[in-house]
Amino acid sequence: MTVSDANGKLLVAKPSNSLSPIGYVWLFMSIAAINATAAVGFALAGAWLVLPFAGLELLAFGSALVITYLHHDDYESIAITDDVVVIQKHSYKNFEKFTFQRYWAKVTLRQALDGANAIFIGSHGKEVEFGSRFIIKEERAIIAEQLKQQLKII
Amino acid sequence: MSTTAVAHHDEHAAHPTGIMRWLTTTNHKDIGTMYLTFSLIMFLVGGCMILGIRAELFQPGLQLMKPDFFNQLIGVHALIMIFAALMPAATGFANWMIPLQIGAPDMALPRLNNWGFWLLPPSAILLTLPFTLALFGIGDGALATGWTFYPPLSIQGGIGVDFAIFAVHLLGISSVLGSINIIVTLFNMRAPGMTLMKMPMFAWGWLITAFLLIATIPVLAGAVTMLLTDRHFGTHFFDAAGGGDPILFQHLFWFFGHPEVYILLLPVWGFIPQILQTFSRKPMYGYKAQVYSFWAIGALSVVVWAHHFFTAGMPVPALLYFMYSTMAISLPLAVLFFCWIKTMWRGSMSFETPMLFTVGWIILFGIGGLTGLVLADVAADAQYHNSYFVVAHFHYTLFAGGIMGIMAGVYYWLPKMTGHMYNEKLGKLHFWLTAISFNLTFIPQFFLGLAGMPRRIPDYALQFAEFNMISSIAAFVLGLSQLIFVYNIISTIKGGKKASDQVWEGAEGLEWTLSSPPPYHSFSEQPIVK
Repeated sequence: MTVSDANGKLLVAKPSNSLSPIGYVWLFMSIAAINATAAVGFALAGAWLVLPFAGLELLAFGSALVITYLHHDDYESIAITDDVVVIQKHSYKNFEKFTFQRYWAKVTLRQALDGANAIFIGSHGKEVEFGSRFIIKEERAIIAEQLKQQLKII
Repeated sequence: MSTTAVAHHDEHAAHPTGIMRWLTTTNHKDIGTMYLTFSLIMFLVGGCMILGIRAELFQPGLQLMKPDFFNQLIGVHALIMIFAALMPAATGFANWMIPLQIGAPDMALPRLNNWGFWLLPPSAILLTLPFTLALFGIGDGALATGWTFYPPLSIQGGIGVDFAIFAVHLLGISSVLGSINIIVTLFNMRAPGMTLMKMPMFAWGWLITAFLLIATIPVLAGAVTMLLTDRHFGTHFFDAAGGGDPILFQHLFWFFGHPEVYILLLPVWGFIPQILQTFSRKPMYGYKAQVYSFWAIGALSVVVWAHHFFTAGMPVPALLYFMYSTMAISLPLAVLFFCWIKTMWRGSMSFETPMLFTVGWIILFGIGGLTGLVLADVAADAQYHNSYFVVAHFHYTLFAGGIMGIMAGVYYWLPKMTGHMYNEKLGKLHFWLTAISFNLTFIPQFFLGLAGMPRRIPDYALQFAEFNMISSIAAFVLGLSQLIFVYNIISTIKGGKKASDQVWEGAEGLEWTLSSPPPYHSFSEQPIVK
């Protein structure tokens, strides 16, 4: 999905996280409650060896949620200023920033490795693919056209 | 151009080919295919084991094997069919279809997905290796306790029990990893607009299955570990001579074991209504009622476990509680049956193979459910317990309700997965042979149970001979008819008439919007659900 500012100079593409940050907490608490009820109940009946397995399972589940949450804020953005076009790609700790001179920057829409149309922005023989992780195929042509128009407006 | 960069790693950008594709794959479709293939292989292995059993039971007396080997085949057959055939089949469908159905590019944790699968082959080897070791004079074969591991027999058993305990641990870890992945995927990776109450029923079935696995697997893991320490480390958790309680094991085991039935069935209940609406060409009836019934069944399934051992002895209030709570499950289940039938009602129905299996499934699974009600009755259970009636009941539940449902799913989605239509004539032949031979195998077993034949015995009184003979002949027909299924799948993978994207005229859902077969990376862009 994409979010852009009012004048179209900044475009941010990010995943659709259907779980809110508070949802992570609720989900973990729900699983922990189910898991702990069974484990503590049987531990009280004498089967205490259930407890470490229940703990390990919760640890694994919690870790999975943390890993997923760390990618909660992944995004790709493109900002067009008077002089430059700045593309940023953020995936957990990986951060890439590409800067092109606005005057020379060129937007193209062509087939990428997966066979679908993708937006490429570049100049001087170098280019960056933008938005393929988060922008739907049908929207890419529209966004490419918008970017071309924005680059023309001085 | 200037960059301040750390190389962006996209694990899905390219994929290896050959054997490395399958060993290292994180693609949900590849992993789904591996689960389904593994399941089919183990289904045949487990089936061969039970044909050995039916051959022995063809007539009274001991013909082919010693009683201990007979017991080993029974126990390993059950473990393989439950853990290595049915569960991986459902997980295979989950991997293939859940991302497609909710509009996600893949599962939330692709590497975890890969590990989850690759724990299965070692566990299958652990289960069956003791048979081979025994041929070389090492140990006395596989576990001979039945799949339930009941002490004190399991404490006294040979190395087969240890192998099975470790196999169960690996299978449990695999199930937990799969469940975590499915829960995170369903909660966090749904396409924009797909609220929880818009999720396909299959996704709902799997979500509740995953919750059940999370709740019960640690209890099973703890129970078999306590068994292991009783066997080798001098503890007495279940050893009455040391102050332990063997009945505690039964509580622990069935706290897992009864929800396990629903763990096997809920994913099937998920896609059955989808098949019904496709071939009835009308919308699914009672979506919300079905979702709430799933939740009710899931919740009830973890509080009814002791009906599996009414005869072990427990206080009358406990007997009454477990009887009534077990019977209460029939209420939400009745809602489901009503919705399934109402979905077909006045529909423009056609009976392609998936629909045949589904309609047959409803009838046969219904018999499994109704005979379960009889067993839930404390007073009646004393008569039926440990008899062939129980064997027939749970095969109506797990073969008809589980495996025949999976077969319906295979025929339904195979064209989508492979891009080719299967052979319809062979599919229908497979259905009729399976349905008829299944009934001829297990209806006699109801009568055997009612007449008093106990389960898990290699020999029996002469009065049971005719029904056993019919059951054995039908079991071999049932087994051989599955070769048609295997042939049909393989020939469909190899080629055949090209399947359209929608495949079935009445098919609805995101998975049918993709090509057949879907691209290696489905939904690299996100669809929007309205």
